[in-house]
Amino acid sequence: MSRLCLLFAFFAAISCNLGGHDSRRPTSEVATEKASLPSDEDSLKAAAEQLISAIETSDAKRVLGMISRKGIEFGADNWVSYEAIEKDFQDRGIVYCEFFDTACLRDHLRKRRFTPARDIEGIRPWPASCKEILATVSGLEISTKREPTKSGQEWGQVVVRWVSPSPRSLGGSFLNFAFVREAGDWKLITDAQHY
Amino acid sequence: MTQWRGRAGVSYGYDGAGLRVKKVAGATTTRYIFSGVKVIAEYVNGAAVGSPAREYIYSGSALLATIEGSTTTYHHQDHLSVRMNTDSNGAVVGQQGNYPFGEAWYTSSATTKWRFTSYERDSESGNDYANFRYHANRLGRFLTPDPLAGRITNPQSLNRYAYVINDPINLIDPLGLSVVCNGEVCYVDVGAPDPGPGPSGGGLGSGVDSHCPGGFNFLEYVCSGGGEPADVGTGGTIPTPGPSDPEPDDGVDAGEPKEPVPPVSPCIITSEFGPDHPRGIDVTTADWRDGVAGGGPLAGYGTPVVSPVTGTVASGTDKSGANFVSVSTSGGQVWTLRHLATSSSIAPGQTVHAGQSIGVTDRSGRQSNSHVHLEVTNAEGTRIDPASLLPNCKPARRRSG
Repeated sequence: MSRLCLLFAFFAAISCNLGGHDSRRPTSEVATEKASLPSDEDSLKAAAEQLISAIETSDAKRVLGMISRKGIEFGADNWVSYEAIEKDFQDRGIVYCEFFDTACLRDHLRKRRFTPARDIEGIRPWPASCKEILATVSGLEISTKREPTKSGQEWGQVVVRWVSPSPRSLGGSFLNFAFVREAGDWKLITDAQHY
Repeated sequence: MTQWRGRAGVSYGYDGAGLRVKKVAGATTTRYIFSGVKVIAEYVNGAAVGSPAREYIYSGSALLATIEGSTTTYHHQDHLSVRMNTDSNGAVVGQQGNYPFGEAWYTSSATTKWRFTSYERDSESGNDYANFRYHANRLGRFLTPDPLAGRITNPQSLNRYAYVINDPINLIDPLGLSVVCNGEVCYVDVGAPDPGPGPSGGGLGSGVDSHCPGGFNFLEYVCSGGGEPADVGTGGTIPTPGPSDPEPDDGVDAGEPKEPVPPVSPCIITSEFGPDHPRGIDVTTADWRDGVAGGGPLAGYGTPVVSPVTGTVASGTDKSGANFVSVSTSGGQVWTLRHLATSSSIAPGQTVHAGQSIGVTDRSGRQSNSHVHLEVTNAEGTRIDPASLLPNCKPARRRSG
């Protein structure tokens, strides 16, 4: 029995070390702590659920608190600093609107020469805000995927899918967010990629 | 910008894209008007705009007819060159043929100067103007090396003077660059053995295609203006290249080949998929040959990009202002290429094949240098590291120390 416990403690220590915990602590302590902490996948999913809840309740302050200190990548190759996002939230800019307000999102997109994708079924609708999407859909499903750690940073992605209505009617099929682990917490590093 | 190099009473003038826009031979000055890399009209000795000496009509890239005054001559080609000429009644007025490496085989009656590979044969030198260099048909080789480096994996390509790696029966080189067909696709063989990161400056010609016998065989090249980027940033489609204006005389030239353009680099990843670039990867050059499929060079704004996969096309402009083309595969993957103007020949909903030209790099969205931002998602909406699907794309080497 004691050998079994030692074996468990050994594997738990390895697991926690991979998860970014301090490996210098005694093995038994890590093993105990591990038992009370959610797995990394679970913690990422919990962060995603917190984000969705904050969006659904229009809690801008809480969403802002979940954004990485280095900001987010808003669209391709377009990093926006945390300070700029703070101001954007104050001014109801495009980042804020993408989370909470469809009408102002579309106003901003018009100014940016945005053109919805055209495919065989014609021109897709203009994107809606995350809040409107979440309020409209049913059968919401959240999945997470941890990515290989790079440059010492843990990161992962969260995909939000829904069953109905047709994804096309909302201008896309999924919402995809990327998170990075900062000081033990998962922080958002992308806006909602809606496609 | 005009290049001039003179010799023995004949001079040639080139525009900024390297196209030969003027020839002075004795008392005759001929100015060429181009659409893409194809001559569409010639004016002799300062003729008025409405009075070209010759006009050329094309079907795709194939020369279809020459209008000279009130006479129209129709041209009939094999996979390389014009072989027969007919008049407006369908009567044969002339025939011409070339040996496999370009030497004249026979001519009878009315011929055209568009000879081997439809290069213009210069009567003053007997050489063929092949856009990027000159082909000496009597020697069966080019006069100068291919501006594009060969590949160590294809030793024949290391002979940079040879016409299409000495396989003119199956291959064609319409630009004077090394063109290779791999069965389904033709592409410029750009395999530089030791490339440096970053764009190599562009300068490719425009609007030409290459042909392989059998199978799909089309690949466009669009001019990046010899270093001056083509502005195709709005609207998401490639504008039709306009006729180029001949440059004024400011020097003398004669028949000497132009300076080669720098070699094009293979696929270099400048931003890897990760927390600093969580949507996908950036590549400054695109060569998918050893990856999923296809092929094609990418250097500087306005250079062509081929689809890495076969699928259905959608296109638009995203919220950061980047034009994009996305290709949805039958397996549910969506490959999105950003900072890319859609080719005007690609319609939304159309099926494109791996290796088919889908657009050119443009200045849209946020970017400090020319690159393609590439994203891949699977059927579940999860992003995939595109580099894992493109083994030929390697991260840029980082300087040490």
